[in-house]
Amino acid sequence: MRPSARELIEGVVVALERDVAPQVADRWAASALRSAVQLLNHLAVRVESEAALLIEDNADARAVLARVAARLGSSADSAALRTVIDAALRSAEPPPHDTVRLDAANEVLQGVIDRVLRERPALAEPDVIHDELRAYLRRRLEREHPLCFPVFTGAPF
Amino acid sequence: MEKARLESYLAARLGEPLVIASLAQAFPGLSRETWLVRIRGPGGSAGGERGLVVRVDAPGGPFVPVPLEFEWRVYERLRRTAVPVARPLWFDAAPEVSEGRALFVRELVEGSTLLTGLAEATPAAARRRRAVAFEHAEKLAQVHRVDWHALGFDEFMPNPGSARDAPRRELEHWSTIWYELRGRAFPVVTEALHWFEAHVPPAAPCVCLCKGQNGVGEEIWRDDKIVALCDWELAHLGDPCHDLALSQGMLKLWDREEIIAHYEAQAGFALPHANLSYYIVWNAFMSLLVLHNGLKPFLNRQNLRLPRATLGFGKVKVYEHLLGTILDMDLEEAADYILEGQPNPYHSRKVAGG
Repeated sequence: MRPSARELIEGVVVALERDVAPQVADRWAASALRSAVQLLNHLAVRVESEAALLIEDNADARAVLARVAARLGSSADSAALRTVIDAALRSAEPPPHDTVRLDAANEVLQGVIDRVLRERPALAEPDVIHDELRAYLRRRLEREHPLCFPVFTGAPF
Repeated sequence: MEKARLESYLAARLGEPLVIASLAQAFPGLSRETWLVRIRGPGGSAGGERGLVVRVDAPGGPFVPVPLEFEWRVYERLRRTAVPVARPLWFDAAPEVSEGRALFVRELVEGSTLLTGLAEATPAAARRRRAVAFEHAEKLAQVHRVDWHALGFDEFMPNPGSARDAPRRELEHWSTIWYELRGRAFPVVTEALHWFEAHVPPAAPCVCLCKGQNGVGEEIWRDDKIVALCDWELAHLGDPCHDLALSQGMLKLWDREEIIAHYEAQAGFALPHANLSYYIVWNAFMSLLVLHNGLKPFLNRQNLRLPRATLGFGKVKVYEHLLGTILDMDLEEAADYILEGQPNPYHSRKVAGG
């Protein structure tokens, strides 16, 4: 469809900044407008990249967790963690058009990664697991970067 | 807040008939609303006018996960000291006038939170920046010299026990709160908390009453002097370095070492450089925690003001990236990196944190 969602959002931003903002004298209204424009600028990027980003991140997180599971020792702590990782890896990946379910799946994977990080000191080969997870977190931040920068570095209200 | 209802409420609480001459909400009031009220007593003459400040929880709750009553208690005790604060009048846990949101009332202190002209590129403005930075350092030192035990601050604030334990206790305290309040997993923040564990200072120079949020925009100024220290919701007992690090760019107003030396002369103790660096980085985590907490009322539709999303989601993302970047840095590198992203208080544009 043309205009695309991104083109529509960018058009709304231009209209708000060019035609509406100069007419807004009230401080509270002007602030709400600044916030709205910032959120729209974020959405303009997110609307086209969110699904791809989630698919890529979920695949990456799954691969990392599979490698972590292979390195877990046989202690009781590791067994509990392995069960959680296995459950996350067994869950089916949502269809690529369904960003809501992709996001829900991503939150589950983040929860498992978070738990591994919190329990890492007690695991076998903690440094290898740590390096693996650190590298993943760097890749994730890099993927998310265009969604947040420079959009959210401006005045938030 | 509706004027007629507030008029009745204030009259009932003060036990005298009154009219509200003016009512204005301080901008932006995102975490808690601050209402500036001018009232006239019987007869309504302008000569009998006085000012009150009504501080109210925002719909859905504040950003800072600390109840308003906590801040009220700080005011109540500080009023018994020489620290300049507005006179607190009363706390009300759930009055009808604010639809059940907690409020407290204090006297209005005349002045401004802004220092107009401080940014000018003139020798006079430069001299003002030095004077303002020194004034701020003196008032912080005054807070840090408060005998908090004698005044009973440890009756409602966690007491870290000793200067040696203070930094680690604070890390443990806020880590626990973070894991309780976060709405989802943040693996980067979990890693950052491991980083803080590895870099936490071995001791504080002493255990002080710390103000929390402080700096130009937080206090009431008149003729470049602080006439009232406001916003005590993050007050705590701990390392005084935390306050200097949280001074929202005050250390950039003038030569940083000169400001710190002035503070140390006033306070009577030295600030370890590493502690300052640690708390500069720690404040990035604290900002993330507070802003993330402020997103909850937006998500459950109790408070749909858009800055709840730009701050609670957008700025949190920025802080998450900042914390992700410092994970491979040593303490000094990390502090320099975080400081670079902080605004100067005399610059109008805010960069991170709002």
